[in-house]
Amino acid sequence: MQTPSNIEYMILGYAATGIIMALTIAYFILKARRLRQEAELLKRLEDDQEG
Amino acid sequence: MATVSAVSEGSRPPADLLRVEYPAWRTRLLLGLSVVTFLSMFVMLYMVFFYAGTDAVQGHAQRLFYVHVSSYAGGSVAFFVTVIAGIAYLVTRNIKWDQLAVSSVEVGLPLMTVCLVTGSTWARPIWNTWWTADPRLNGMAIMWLLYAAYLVLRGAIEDPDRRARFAAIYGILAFASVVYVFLIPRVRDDTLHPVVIGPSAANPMAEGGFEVRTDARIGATMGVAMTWWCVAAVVLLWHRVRLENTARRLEALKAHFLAKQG
Repeated sequence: MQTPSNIEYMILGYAATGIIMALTIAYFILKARRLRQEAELLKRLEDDQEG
Repeated sequence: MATVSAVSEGSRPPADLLRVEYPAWRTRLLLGLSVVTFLSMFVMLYMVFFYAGTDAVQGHAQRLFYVHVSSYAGGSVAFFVTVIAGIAYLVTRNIKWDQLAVSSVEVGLPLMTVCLVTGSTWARPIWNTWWTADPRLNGMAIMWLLYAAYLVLRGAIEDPDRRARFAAIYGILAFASVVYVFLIPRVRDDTLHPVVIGPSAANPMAEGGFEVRTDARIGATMGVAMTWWCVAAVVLLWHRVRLENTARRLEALKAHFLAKQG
């Protein structure tokens, strides 16, 4: 029996896995960044009021 | 949980406003676990691509099973945490359990997406189709939609207590779909999907199985991949929970700020 040549599907599957996991981690990082930006805005508003 | 008093400490940099204090050993453990998980990924990939060998019948496409089965295991761990957190919330009414529940769904859903995508990619060369109306495949699609709907529906409920109560009950009930997907090829004999680990129904229709129990290299690689994906799910969940704690702290700071305005 000849082993089928289907390496392109393996590459496609692992590339898709990498992209999905990278997007997941990027979502976490972007969410953390947004929280920091909101905190910064909050502090600026507070400083403006106190100043 | 951190207090909101830090908002009036004008000299602190903005990022510090969101800092939630954790015991140092926990932070070190999370950091260490994250590094170990990242580095051990290369060990797993080495085993998948070089140690396990190429399946004589399925060729290289069979290597997709190491991520397909394992990501399902990792996703199942995350969704099981949703169940535990849901029960804990209904018993204690402590919002931290709701935060754990939503975090675990946000971790489990991408892992199940990996499972769906790699399964479909494997099916194309082995079954000659990307998708077919099989009980397990359809069950998997329904499960994915159920958990995606969990996130959408949560966002539609304004009241935090009502949202947490709804999410807890929904999260517990939705886990039935995870159990269904796991069990279906083990109890029905008319599914195309093979059972890779554990006993299966005497199923003459299943196509694409391989010898995970009799080939030591395949078994070891599958074991390492399963462990890696489950640990990766826990590490991601831990980071996501910390993010959720920070988000709650920001909400408290906003409420404090608005109260001062009023």
